[in-house]
Amino acid sequence: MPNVPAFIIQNLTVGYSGQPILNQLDLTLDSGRVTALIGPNGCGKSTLLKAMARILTPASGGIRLSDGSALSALSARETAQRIALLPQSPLVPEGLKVFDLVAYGRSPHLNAFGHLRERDREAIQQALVRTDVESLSDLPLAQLSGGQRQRVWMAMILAQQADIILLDEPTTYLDLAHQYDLLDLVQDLAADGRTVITVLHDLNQACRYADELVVLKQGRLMDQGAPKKVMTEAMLREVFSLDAQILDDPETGTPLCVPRARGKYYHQASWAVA
Amino acid sequence: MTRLLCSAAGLLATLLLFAAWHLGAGAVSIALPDLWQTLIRGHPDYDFIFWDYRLPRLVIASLAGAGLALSGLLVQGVVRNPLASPDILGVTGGASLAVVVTTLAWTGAPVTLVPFVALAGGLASAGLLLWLARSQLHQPTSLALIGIALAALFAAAIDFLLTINPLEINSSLIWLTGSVWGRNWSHLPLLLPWLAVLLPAAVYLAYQLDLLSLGDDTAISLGTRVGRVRIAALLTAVVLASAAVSVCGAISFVGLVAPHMARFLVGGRHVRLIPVCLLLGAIMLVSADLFARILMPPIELPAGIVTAFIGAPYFIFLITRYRHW
Amino acid sequence: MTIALSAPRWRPPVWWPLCVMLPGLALAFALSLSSFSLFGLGWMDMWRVLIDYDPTSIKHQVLVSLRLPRALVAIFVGASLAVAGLVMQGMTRNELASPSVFGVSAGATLTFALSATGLWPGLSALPIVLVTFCGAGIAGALVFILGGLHRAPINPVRVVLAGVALNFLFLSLTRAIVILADENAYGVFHWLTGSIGNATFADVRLVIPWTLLGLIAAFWLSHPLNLLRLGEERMQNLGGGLGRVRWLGSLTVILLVAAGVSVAGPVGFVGLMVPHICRFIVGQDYRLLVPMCSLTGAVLMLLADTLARGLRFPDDSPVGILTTLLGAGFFLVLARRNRANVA
Repeated sequence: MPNVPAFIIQNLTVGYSGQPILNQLDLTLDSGRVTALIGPNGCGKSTLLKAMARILTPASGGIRLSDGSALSALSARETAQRIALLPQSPLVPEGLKVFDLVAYGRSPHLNAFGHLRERDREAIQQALVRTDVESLSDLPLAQLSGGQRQRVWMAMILAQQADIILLDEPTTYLDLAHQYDLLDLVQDLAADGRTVITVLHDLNQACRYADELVVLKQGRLMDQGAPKKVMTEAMLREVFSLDAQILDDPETGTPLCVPRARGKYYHQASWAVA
Repeated sequence: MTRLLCSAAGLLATLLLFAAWHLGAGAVSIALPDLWQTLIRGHPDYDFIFWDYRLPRLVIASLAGAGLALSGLLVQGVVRNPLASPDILGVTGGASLAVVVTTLAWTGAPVTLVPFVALAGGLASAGLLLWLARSQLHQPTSLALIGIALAALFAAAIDFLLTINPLEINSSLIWLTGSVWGRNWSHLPLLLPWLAVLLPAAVYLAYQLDLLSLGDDTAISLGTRVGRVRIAALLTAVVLASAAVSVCGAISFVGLVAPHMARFLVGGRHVRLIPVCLLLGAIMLVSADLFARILMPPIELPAGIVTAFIGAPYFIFLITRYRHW
Repeated sequence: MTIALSAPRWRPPVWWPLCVMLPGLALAFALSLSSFSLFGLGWMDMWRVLIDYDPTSIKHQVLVSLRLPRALVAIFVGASLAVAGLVMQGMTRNELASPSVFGVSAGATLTFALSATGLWPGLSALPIVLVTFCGAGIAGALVFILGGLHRAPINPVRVVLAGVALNFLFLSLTRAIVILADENAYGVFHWLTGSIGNATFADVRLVIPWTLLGLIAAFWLSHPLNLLRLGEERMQNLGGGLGRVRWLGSLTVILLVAAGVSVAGPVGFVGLMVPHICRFIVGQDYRLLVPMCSLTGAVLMLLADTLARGLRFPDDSPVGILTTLLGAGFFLVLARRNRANVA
């Protein structure tokens, strides 16, 4: 179901304590796809994500969802039933077990005392299986490796059963193999019809896994579109101040960004000699 | 669930044991069978000492201990820092200061006013702390540091006031160290209603506090109204601590240590922590009061000295173990 | 040494604050001797005592046998505690370090109370400085180990929390001891605040040698402490003996605190405030900071004692309540400023 917008962002200004990070941003994000937010440090990627999760309140402008309802008009609980967020470095409380953490993902659907009903247990079970952490469910969180822990957090997000999933640099602190495992999972989720919007630092991963890239710089939208269209040498130079050439990823055919040689390889580089 | 039941049963047994000891020991020693008889049918020799002296003291000590422990649990849940507690954050100090100021400024002040003054002082100091640390609320250690500084400031102000008004020192000092000495049934209405109202509130907040322990961003994205939960829990905690302080004085370390022991026993979920915490707090204060009486008869030490004696080493042990610097 | 590029302009030498502080000390000394007296002491009386001492004059008697030892004790106790705080801050590179925050003073007070109340007869037979030295030493060692000071990197808040808990523990024990010894709460109170109201020449003779020894040791330590500002590893890299400096520094701190507490009790927060004030004035060089802190500590103590005397005139108040009130406020400001170092 392409071309149904998940988020319609209009004239959004948002920031911390009066200091705007995003300035009058207009953006529409499609549902059922993986969208990657990219841009240099401090460009407002995480801020945009937090505004979409209703963690930050906009100074002006607004965000509307697919059915036209304004995000700010929803209650905290309604928002949580529709939008799930995995923050960059979530806290790990002491002595918490994997199952308990994943069960917290159900909280938007529970009463104030957190009583789990049968369908909640089913949802938790599915989430554990989907992220392949079922065997860990009785272990304390502190005993897990970084990769396992991130999968458990993903399980929590899945148990929330929200249509929209926001991820803030989900691959940070993971080794390369686990990064790709996680991104595969993200892609599967979109294939199921969920909307995934993620901040990614690695441009090549963004190109490979995202259906659409959103490029931000200093709180402004620079470009938006399919990776092949957006990822150009000119964009890299302008947004990231990086000299790079764009190749085709031999595995997937998606753009692959290779920074130009500097320093000791400078003279060997073909473009420098030419 | 079995773990919770076992812990609760064990703690209840311990509490009963200490309670019996507490009721029996003292200048007039009552044997266990006599205690039973006094309780059920009355006993001509012991009726007065049991009903009018020891039992109210026992009840007040258990309730105040339970209140302090619950208050500590809530504060630790809100600031997500196992080192926080009403006394480290200066709430106890603020309540004490308010009471000292009132007793000095208004010598004929009715005793019934004291709890409300303590409450106001506790709330004001909590507000002051939050305002001073408003930009560092997410940094537990800074919050603790500012709380400690505030507590030091309140303590200094109390010292100052007592020095320039030396006549009031004797009663004030015992009160400031925290003691259950001479508490009777008239103190019960100052404590019980607060507990009766705030305990359900704490239970209601328990699950929200569980979610809060995942961090603000996660908690919000799970539908928690973080600001509201935080204020409600903190308010509950401050009122509980101030109520306990208003009756027993500044008893230290109960609110810090009891939640830790509870976490050790039944894990990190607040619904389970609450009953265990209440029992532990009651046990701590009852046993502290007991030992304060029987260690060096006929002198009675303030119970707060005994709790500090147990609590401070435990706190230091916690510091050496705490890894999230 | 800076090289002047423009025309040479006269600048005051780096030690100018010392030249200001010395007359300041003399002034504070004179103020402390003469003010708030029932006998109407004046500056002229002091002059008379100097040129023409009259043993039969009550004013002269008061000046020489009551006021003079008190002022001298204030000077030496103030200098001791201030320099003890300075050395602690230098050694731990923690700006919140000081004898009263870390519980070292409280440890000394505890053993002092044990000895003075006679609860432990064996202890009472020992010289008082030795007793407080042991107390301060035990407390210092405990904070050192519990706060994890022996393992780098040091987290500043951690040591403070350990110190606060120790402080509480020692304070409670001291209260218990004094309550056991006599049930007079006012006595307890005076024990716990620190006072020099009853200082005699015996106290002066007691405190002078230890304070001087400690100050000399601190001065000797000033260069290693300068190196330590660069960090433990860098200092060893530059050839400073870290272990030796730590040992000597700890001994110095304990000695200075013991000397101060044994005559004045735990006068709070002088060791926290003075080093900060001095750093603000003369900068970071410990060779200047040590003498500057001694002078400033002495002046602060003299002024605080004079004020305490006037607070409830004609009754005396312990000087400790003033320094504690002032210092706790200071601590609050530092705690709020500390945010960047804690993250």
